[in-house]
Amino acid sequence: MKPDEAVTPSGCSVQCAYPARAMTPKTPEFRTGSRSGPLGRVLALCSVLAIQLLSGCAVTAGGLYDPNRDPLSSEHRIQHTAWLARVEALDANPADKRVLEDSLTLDLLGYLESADYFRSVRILSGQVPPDDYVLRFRFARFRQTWIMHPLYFPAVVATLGIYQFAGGPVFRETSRLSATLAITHADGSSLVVVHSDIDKGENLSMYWRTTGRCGTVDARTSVVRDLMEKAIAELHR
Amino acid sequence: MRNCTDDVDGIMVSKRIVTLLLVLVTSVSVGCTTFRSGRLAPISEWPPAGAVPKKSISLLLTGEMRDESGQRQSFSPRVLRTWRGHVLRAYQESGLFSQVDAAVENADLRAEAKVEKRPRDVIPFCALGLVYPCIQSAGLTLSTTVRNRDGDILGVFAHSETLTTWWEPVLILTMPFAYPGVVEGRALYDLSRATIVEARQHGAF
Repeated sequence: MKPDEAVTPSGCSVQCAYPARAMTPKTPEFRTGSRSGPLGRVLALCSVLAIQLLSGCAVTAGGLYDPNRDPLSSEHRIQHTAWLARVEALDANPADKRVLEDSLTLDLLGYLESADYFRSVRILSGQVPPDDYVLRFRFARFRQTWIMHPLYFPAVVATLGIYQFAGGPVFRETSRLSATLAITHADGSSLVVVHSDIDKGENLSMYWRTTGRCGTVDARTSVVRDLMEKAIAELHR
Repeated sequence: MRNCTDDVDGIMVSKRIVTLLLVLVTSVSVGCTTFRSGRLAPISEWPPAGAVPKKSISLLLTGEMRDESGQRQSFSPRVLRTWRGHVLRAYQESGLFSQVDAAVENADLRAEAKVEKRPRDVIPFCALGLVYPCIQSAGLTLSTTVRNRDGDILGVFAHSETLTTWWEPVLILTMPFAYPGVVEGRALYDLSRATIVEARQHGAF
């Protein structure tokens, strides 16, 4: 190859109007050959930053209520021991059903224990004494999601990250719960059957941690509290 | 007929594509690596010597995350399922039980395990991950309440470990050896083993 020939990306050599060695980053030709110029570099830098800003993570919600949340005054405590049957999540993914129900049962046990609704609360196992009650929570619908907001990605790119710092929605959380609580005597005869449900969705910005809220936990707590308040009222009639 | 201007443009386009690809690859390939603090003392004897499996046990597991502001968040069933696998493995390997993971109604013992994770940003703002590493520390605590068939508490045991995760581009090379999920799983397994050993020493098992 002659000194003034350049090799193209396709591999062919052509006669060039200026030397091939001129095509190096140090030469003025290379710099002035850029179509974007300084503005393009700024945009490229902003693009890098914007892409970096897209890094994030989310934890989806799946458990149950905040057990430290005091749901009800204990002045109307029921003077019976309550046996908590395994919570049922009827529409749960089969692969998740067991862990979800285990988690719900355990969290609910802690919640009921701390709430003082009953003299004591125990997980149902074996024979139930005649005077005790059995609590059966059944979630016909248990859908709680916490996903990336559909606008987040395009909006962050379009605004070079300003979107999220300005408080634009980052996450979208939804709670669709439908639950029934049945309280029975030890022999299985029904005492109370109550129902509660909730269906809400909310957008969260990147500042959601500092706004003092946690929607999915609130939703679960409100459903369980509603069930318990209705049931306790019925039991006192 | 091709002229030199076309080739120069072609070279420049190629360079831009390569640059763009490099930027993209670098941007999305920020690696992370997790280290354990070593707060948990090594377990010298595993499985416990002289273990005679007598009783069946059921395992209930739940988990929650509590951040620095006190906000609580529960974990997805997928995470809980993974964690349950690590805890269950320790119980199975211990040789202390005739049946592990029995139904609650039929089990002689019940282990109620609660995993609590407390993340804390040491160096936040991962947007500048290319410039300096982002570091997050997370306390991982496994609290286990052991009950008998009647629901009476036989013992409450808690063990903790601290996991520190670094994010930085070069750490992508170390990711296969210290992937956060894997390290967390090993930590949970060790916390479960420590719980079992302690529970056995206190006569709960």
